[in-house]
This record gives sequence, C-alpha cells and structure tokens, in this order.
Amino acid sequence: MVFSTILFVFRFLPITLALYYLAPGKWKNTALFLCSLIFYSWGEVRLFPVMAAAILINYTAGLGMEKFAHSQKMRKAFLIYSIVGSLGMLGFFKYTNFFIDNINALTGAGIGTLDWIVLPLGISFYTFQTMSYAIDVYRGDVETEHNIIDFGAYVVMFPQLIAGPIVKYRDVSDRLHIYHGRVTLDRVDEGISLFIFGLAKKVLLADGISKLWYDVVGQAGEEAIGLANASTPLVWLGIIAYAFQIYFDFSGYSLMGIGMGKMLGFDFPDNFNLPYISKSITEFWRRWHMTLSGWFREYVYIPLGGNRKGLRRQIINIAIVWFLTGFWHGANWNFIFWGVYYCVLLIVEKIWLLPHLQKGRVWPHIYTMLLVVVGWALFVGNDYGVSLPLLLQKMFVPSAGASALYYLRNYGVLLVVCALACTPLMTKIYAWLKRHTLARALVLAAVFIVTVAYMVDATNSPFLYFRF
Amino acid sequence: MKENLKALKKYPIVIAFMVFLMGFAVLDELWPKRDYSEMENRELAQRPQLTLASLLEEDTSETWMAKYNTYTQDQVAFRDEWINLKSAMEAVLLKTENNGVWYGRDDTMFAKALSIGGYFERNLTAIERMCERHPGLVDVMIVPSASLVQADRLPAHAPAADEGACLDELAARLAGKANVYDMRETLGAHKDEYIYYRTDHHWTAEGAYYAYKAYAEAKGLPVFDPDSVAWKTVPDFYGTNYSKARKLGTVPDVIEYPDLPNQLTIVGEQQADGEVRDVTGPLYEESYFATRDKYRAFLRGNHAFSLLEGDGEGSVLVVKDSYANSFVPYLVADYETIAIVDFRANYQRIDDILAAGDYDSVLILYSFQGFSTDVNLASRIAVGAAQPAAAE
Repeated sequence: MVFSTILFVFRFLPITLALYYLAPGKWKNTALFLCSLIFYSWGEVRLFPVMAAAILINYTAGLGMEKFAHSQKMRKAFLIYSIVGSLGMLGFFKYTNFFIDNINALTGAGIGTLDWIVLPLGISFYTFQTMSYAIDVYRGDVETEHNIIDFGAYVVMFPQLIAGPIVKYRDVSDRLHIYHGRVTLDRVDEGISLFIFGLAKKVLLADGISKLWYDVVGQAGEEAIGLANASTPLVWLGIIAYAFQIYFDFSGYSLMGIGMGKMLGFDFPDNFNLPYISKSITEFWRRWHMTLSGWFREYVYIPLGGNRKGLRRQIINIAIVWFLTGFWHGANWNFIFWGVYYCVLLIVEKIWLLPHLQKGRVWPHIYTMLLVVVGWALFVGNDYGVSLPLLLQKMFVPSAGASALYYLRNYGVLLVVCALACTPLMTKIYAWLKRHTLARALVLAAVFIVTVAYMVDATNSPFLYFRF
Repeated sequence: MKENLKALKKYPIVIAFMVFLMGFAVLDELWPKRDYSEMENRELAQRPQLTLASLLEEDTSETWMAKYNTYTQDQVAFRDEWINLKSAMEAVLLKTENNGVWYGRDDTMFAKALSIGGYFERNLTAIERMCERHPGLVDVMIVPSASLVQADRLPAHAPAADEGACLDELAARLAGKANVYDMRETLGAHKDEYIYYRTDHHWTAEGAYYAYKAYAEAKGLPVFDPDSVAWKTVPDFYGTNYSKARKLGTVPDVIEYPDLPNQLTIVGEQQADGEVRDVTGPLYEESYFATRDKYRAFLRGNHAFSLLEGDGEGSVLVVKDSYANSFVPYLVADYETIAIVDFRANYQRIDDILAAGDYDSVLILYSFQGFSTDVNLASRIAVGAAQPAAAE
C-alpha cells in the first residue's frame, strides 16, 4: 500500500488508528501487528511467507541466544543462523538474477534467470532491522524479546516497513513494552504535523517536479522527449529535478513514517537533516539517509576496526562500507559505481580536501551539490528510458536538442519552492508554527487539502525507494 | 477518561485532524458511486469482486488489492471538486500545462506531443505495401496536428516533436505510389481561423472543409458548396483536452455542422437487444450533442463499416480515424456511395473489403496523432486478402 493514496489515508489509516487507540493496553501491539500485516500483504499476499519467515527466524534466534547464555559457541551459532536467514532472504530475492546475468556475461553459460522472483516489499529495510536485533542481542545491548506478537509488531510495523527510516529494535523496544500510556497527546499532535508535511513533500514537491524529468526520459507507457533528443541544458535541468524528486520522495516518506510512529506512540530516529546544504560530501552523508549510514557504521565499519587501525585499514574499511552501500541500493552495476564514486570522494576529502572545504564559504556548497547531482546521474543510470553512457555524454559533451527554456518557465515557481524547501528556512517556519497553534492548524489544513487534491488527480506515483 | 478529554482540549489540531480523517472516511464510504465521469469523459472503476484468485493474482496490477486502490481513488467523494482544486493550484504555480495538455494562446489547448507515436513507421510501410498492390487507387491524407499548424499559439518554446519531418518523409516515400494530400499549407493559410477546436483534439467542420476543398479540386470533382445547406450550431462543447486538463475558466467550443439530409447506414452492428443488423438513419446522432462527448454525433460515432448515400457518381472507400467524421459529409457532393471503414472496430483485411465492393478510389484519412499511434491499421492493410482465391 502506498502512503500517498486515498486508500491509505482515508481507509487504512483511520481504521488502524481507531483499532489501535481503542484496543486495551495489552492488545495494542496485536492490533498494530495485524494491521501491519494487512498493510504488507496489500502489495502481494503471495509473499506473506517471506515476512513470516523473517519474524520467526529472528525471534527464535533471540530465544536461542538467551537460552544458551553460558555457551559462547551456541550464541554465535544462533547469531549466524539469524544473519544467514536475513541476508539469505535479501540475497536471494534481490541479487540472484544479477549474479546469474553476470555469470552468463562472463562465461557465456546461458543460465536462465529466475523470472518469478519479485522483490518483496521493503525487504532491504526490514532485513537490516532484524539483523540489528540479533546482533544487539548477541552483544548484550538489548534484552531478548519473548513475546512473538510484540516482536512481529516491531518487524512489520507499517510506518517504517517499506522505505525506512531503519529503526533498530533497541530504538523502540522501551516504548513497545509500555502497554499503558504509550500514546501521548503531544506525540500525536507532533505526529500529525510531520505526517502532513511529509505527505505534502512527497505529493506536491517530489511528484510535481518528477514530471520534468519524466518528460525527458519517459515513464513506462508515457511519451517523452527522449534523452537522445534533449539538449545539454535540458538534461542538466532534468537531473536537477531528479535530485529534488529523490530527496523529497525519500525524506517525505521518512517524515510520514516518523509522524505516524509518533501517532502510535513511538519515537523513530530522524533520517534526513537538510542534506543539500552540506559543504562537503562527508557532511552530505551525515545528513542523507542517516539511519542507513548509521547502520553501516555500527554493524560494519566499527566492527572492521573503523579508524582505529591506521589510515590504510581505515581506507579499506571505507571502501567495504561504500561498496555495500551502493550494492544495497540495487542489484545493478550502476549502483556499485555510485557507491565506489562516493567512496573515492570521501577518501579524497579525508586525506586532503576536507580542511580546505571547511575554510570556504560559497564554493564548497557548489562543489558538493555538483558532485551530488552527478552522483544522481550514476544512480538513475539504469532507470526506464535512461542509458548511463548517453546520460553522461549528454551532460558533459554540449549538444543541441529540445530546449530547457519551456521547462524553466513552466516549472520556475516549483523549482524555487523546491530549492527553498531544501534550506533551513523550512525548519525555521516549522519552529515558528510549533509556537503558534492557530497558524499551524490553518497551514496544516490548507496543505492537507491541497495534497489530497493532488492525490485524487494523480496517475501513478510510487515511491522511488520502494525498489530498494 | 474525563481527564483525557480535558487534556484533549489543549490539542485542537489532534481533534480537528482525527475528526476530519474519520469523518471523511465514513462520508467517502457512504458517498454515492458513479459508473461514469461526465467531466473526465471516462468510465470509473467499480468495487472489485473479492475472490481467492484475485487475491493471489500474479500480476500485481491485477490483484484485488490494486483494483480496490483504483476504486477508492475513482470513487472518492467530491472527486470533481478535488480535481478542480488541483487544476487551480497548477495555475497558481503558473504552469502552462496540466495532465498532458498544453495551454496555448487565445484559450487554446493542445495535446502534449513530445514524441512521434511508435506506430508511424509501421503504418507508413503498410500503406506503401498496400499501394504497391493497388497502384493508382489510393489517396492519403494525414492531417497535421493543431500543435503543428497553430504552433504560434503554443506556450513559448514548447518542445513539440518534429511532426513536419514525418510528414515530409511520408510524402517522399509515397511519391509515385499514392496521391498524398499534404494539408500543412492548406490549413496553414487559415491558421488564424477556427479550424481546430480549442478544447478538443479534433478539427472543426470548417477546418475539415478546407482540406476537403483541396482534395476535391485536386481530383477534379465537384466542390461541395457550404452555402447550399443550412448550418446548425451546438454551443458549450468541452472536448477531450478539457477533460484531461480541467482548466478553470475554459472557454467552451462551438460546434457548427452542415445539416445534410443524406442517410447513413451503419452495417452489421450488434444492437442493444443482441441482434446484429443494419441501422439506417441521419448523418448525425443529434442526441449526442446533449452529452459531453459531442463530437461523437458526427457519423453517429466510430463504427466498423458504414455506408453514406451521396448525390454524386461512383464510389469511394474511406479508411479513417475520427478526424474523417467531420470531413466525410462533404463527399456527398462527389460520390454516389461513400463506404467508411474504421479499423479500430473492423477486423477485416483491406483487400477483402475492396474485393467485396467496387470502389473507384480509396481515401486513407487519419489525423497525424491517430495515424502514428494506431495499433490496428498495419495488420489490416500491409498484406493481401486473408483467404486467397481457391484457384491459386
């Protein structure tokens, strides 16, 4: 189920909230668990067993590690069982066909791809969440969960199921076990604001500006100018529009997730902190998809030794993390290139550039955004209507074609709104609104009504991060 | 409980949001469902039947869940008002387009033509093949789009696809094989007149008349005199471009058409009672002028095969899309029999149709947009008869 639909906003959400609020304390997690399972199954009932397996494997692994608390060997065995379970599922569903294709390309083996494999909704997110649980239990950072309903409610919890933020079990375990008074009015109040602003980010900004990019490269079944027929300025404008789209799409989704989490009485971690105002790539990755970077730092980078074993080892560790980050985003070479691209930039900054960037005022912003936009070109290189070599050629070898002028004119206002929405101005406005209830009520009502109008007239607007 | 309610008063936004969310959900569920949207000119999704098979359906766009999603969107309470609000907001953002329609000068709207339809090449090759089998028989008129003829009314720098290059190619490839009627100059000379509807993708009867005149003169046929008959007027026509864009403050079109007494027979079509028979009647179905889809009144809509009684001599077969519906009436001055075939509804091959009648000429008449996107045409005309003569 997609958040930005009438079905979700005016059916699923009110019914779920009503059941959840009316359920007596002990039953709240059951209500949340069942509603979330319906949410998950709405995309595809046939993949229900995958979710059931993810829950059962990690639940039993937790129990096992507790039962054999005295035996380090057994605890390790259960940890491996859980990680193999989570990564195995992720690897099988996400990467099998990629490996088959590459083996075929290398050896000419001609192995048939498994066309029946479809990516279960949100698998990249919830497998990372279940792994965080098992690893934390193993490390003794968190207690084993005994109640399978409570554990299931955590794994399949609908606000963050499909596209994050990646909520670690220990982030929510406390509130998950508060059975009375979990839902507080101040949380619900803030949650409503975050949900509406997140929805608006997705529907008004991301979907609105995405049409510019789709006019250039097309979307399945829609006519488009075609990358080959577009002029270099238009291609740049298009990729800038895509940069806005992916940011508002993903951060909007995260904000909705956090907001609905609050409505349910949970505090999820932030996922974005104005990434496009960064003055370096290093800073950008501290502000973009923070729960993913945090996950890799905690469960890969630091266990590998982080920066404690000398520069050489640190660089190797950075390389491993960024290869994995790229690959996590999708089973395709362009995502691996994208990860390696950031790896190189981060190492260059680490070894030499960072002090210079910190001294600059304007140029570091230009430097960062330019590289980020080029990064998005690599990222989008495998999308419908896009071929990476052609895209890069169009960007860097000036060529004539369909002009950018019409698009600057038609999307001018929206582009300015998008640019402003990337700055601290929005944070300031939000802080002001928090203090003025009436103004906030009016702004929220207007934004919500307009957003619903765009949802009603939308043709097709899935979330970009659904595929990851 | 009482304390909770007291505390709730300090959170007016929580109350307002929850009341609206739950209230609208209930209202929406109870809201009367519609079969058809007049404003959008399309059928709306209905509540899907819940079956085990539809739950487990492999195609994720065909599952019960996906259909239920579309259903709630199509049947949402105040749907028309929501869409109008969105259209108004797009105007606030100073956009010059909405839902695939460009807003041009002088209250015009144009179907956004970013690329050439994917069937242009295939259909052109198919016409070549057909002309090779029937030398000297075929006339071809592919009517340029409003966005080409009236390009000066498009929004500034609108990236319209190069339709002119395609029309050049068509003329070059069919040279010597068919008579190509290139209407760019003919219509271009009248581009400031009311030759295309502003809110619809069709040309007007006036635009069609200029094209007809060029055709009749080139063929040396008597030219229909528009002053010889009474013209009728139908106001308040909101066409397909409007249905998509729903621009506020749209100036509706006015349909004018020559009121001809000639009878049109729609051949062999299934009627409401299930029986298949021919129905003879007037050239226009006037009751359609009272609906939103007014253009459908011309030739009483698009039918597989129709016969129009003319006042002239000889016979012509018109292979067409809906652009021809406002062109064909003028042909009554030139032919005794005008046969009209629309391959979107007719599954016969052209050679079978030609063998069944004795036609003096064939006119292939499509809009450029229709021609370059028609998925049926090529398979009906590229190769000969489905059943070759037994003697062979």
